[in-house]
Amino acid sequence: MGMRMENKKRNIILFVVLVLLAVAPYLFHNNYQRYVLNNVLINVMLVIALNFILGFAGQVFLGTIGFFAISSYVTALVTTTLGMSFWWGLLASVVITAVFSFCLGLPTLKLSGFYLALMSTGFIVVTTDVLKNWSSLTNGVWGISNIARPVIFGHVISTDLQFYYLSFVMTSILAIIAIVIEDSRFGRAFKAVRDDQLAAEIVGINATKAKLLAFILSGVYVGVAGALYASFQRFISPDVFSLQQNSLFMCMLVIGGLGSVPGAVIGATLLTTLTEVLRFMREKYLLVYAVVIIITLIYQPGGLIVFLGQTIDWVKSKLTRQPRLRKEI
Amino acid sequence: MEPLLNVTNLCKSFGGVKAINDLSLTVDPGEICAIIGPNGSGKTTTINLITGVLKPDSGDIQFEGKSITNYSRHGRVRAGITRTFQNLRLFSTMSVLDHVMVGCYSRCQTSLLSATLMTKSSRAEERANFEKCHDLLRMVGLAGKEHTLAKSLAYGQRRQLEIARALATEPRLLLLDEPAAGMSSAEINDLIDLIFKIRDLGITIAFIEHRMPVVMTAADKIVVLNYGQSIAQGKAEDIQTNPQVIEAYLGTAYKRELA
Repeated sequence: MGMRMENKKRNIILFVVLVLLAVAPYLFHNNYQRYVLNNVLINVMLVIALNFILGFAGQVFLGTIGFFAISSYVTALVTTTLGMSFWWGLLASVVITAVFSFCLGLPTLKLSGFYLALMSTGFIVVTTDVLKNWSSLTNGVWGISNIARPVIFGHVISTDLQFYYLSFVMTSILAIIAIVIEDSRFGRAFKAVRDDQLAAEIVGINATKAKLLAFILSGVYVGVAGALYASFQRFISPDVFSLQQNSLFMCMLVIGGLGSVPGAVIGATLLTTLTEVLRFMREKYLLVYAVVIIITLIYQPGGLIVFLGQTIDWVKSKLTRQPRLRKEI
Repeated sequence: MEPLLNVTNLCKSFGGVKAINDLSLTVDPGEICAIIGPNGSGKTTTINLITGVLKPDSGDIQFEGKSITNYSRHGRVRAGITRTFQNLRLFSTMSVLDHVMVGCYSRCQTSLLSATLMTKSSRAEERANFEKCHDLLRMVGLAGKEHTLAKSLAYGQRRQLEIARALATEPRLLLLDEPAAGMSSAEINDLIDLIFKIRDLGITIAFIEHRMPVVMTAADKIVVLNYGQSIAQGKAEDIQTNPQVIEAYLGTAYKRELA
């Protein structure tokens, strides 16, 4: 069974990006840069999670940061209030976020498009309000500190560099699982529901189940990201989880390439870094994002990943010195 | 012999319009059944009701002796009924091969966990699906087009692809909604051959068609609808001479043509 050209290209791009991420801490080695790199990986996981719902299953549910808040708080509470290890926190985050995600997925059976987008915004507002006001559990606006760091074989992951490689291993595994699922019958079912739900149902796909599965998978991914984030920061408070931050995840996915795992990784990496580069502009940096998004949508609606794919084709055609094949329309 | 599909007293209204009015029809296993009738007589609505795209107001649909009236759309596919659409409904971002692979979905056993871990059984199933899809594409005449995007196929080929996708669900009853619409006469001959090939696989076929040559050549049985009711059911010869059918649909010119 030969692998398809497109899939091969996708896998190569993902591999190259992961290698670049693996060596990144040695190219950028001051403390601040390594701190940023840790955040890059967490955003990569979140954008891959968003891609399951928005990219693969085509549901305009944009509540990623709400789940992110929930999963971060679960790990925070499990390791502080309950005094358990990070790994229990991680497990609890994954399970609880997946359950929340499933419950939020249920209304999508009734809602779509704008209505779903509106509901997801509501979900984020409610989540942050609950975190701010349920002081007995969440310590309100003061947040939770002293969140545990992971311990591996008695060794505490204390430095940013060590933490980066822990996150990197998890990110790589999650990214690879995402493309394996994309190529399985479940990935095809997601895309069928996205392209034409009625046609998908009429050839035997349970659209409800497919959408819920995308939500659950997204929840699992956000669960891992939230656990790592809480543990890395060691302190979380509700104001981190803002609507503004949420819209950045969408920008990352669209600019990287909606419906593409390496696209999600590239988008998250570039835009997280760009945000840091644009620190001097303060909140006006969103202006730059807006321009980048508009340019992307006009010139390359498929995102950077399509551009990269075309570049690879171009380089290949130069190397083999054959006339360049016209791209299939 | 027990009919494969048994529709009894089916009714469906859209507002004040009775699209289907007390319709009963049967399709026997192994036969090729054509559904004809003037525009607005309820042919597509009938297929929509049988496949669960629409819910009937009243009446019962039995498939292989079991009532499927309350089944979901995908549940009916699992039971063995699938269809194609008059206005093609293909997946815009998918390749030809992926379309047919999507059709295999409901017959797959692989769980999410074993798909993720790429277990031996999941890879074996994927390989088997792959073989099956290639065979189906060869049968409908799309061999060599596996990696083409469906939207860049010619019109007739898109119709063939919809049939291949439907066959991948391993149906026992295949409903085709105007399969010859927009086809050239050469393509129509291929289509008729394909319909016979599908019948030879043991799949019962019911199709809606306006082109009389296709209907008269392929169909074992013809059901004529008018105003949501069946006005005649029977063999081609009987239908052609039925005065009610000539009045409602075929027209007196057709009668002269025959004579």
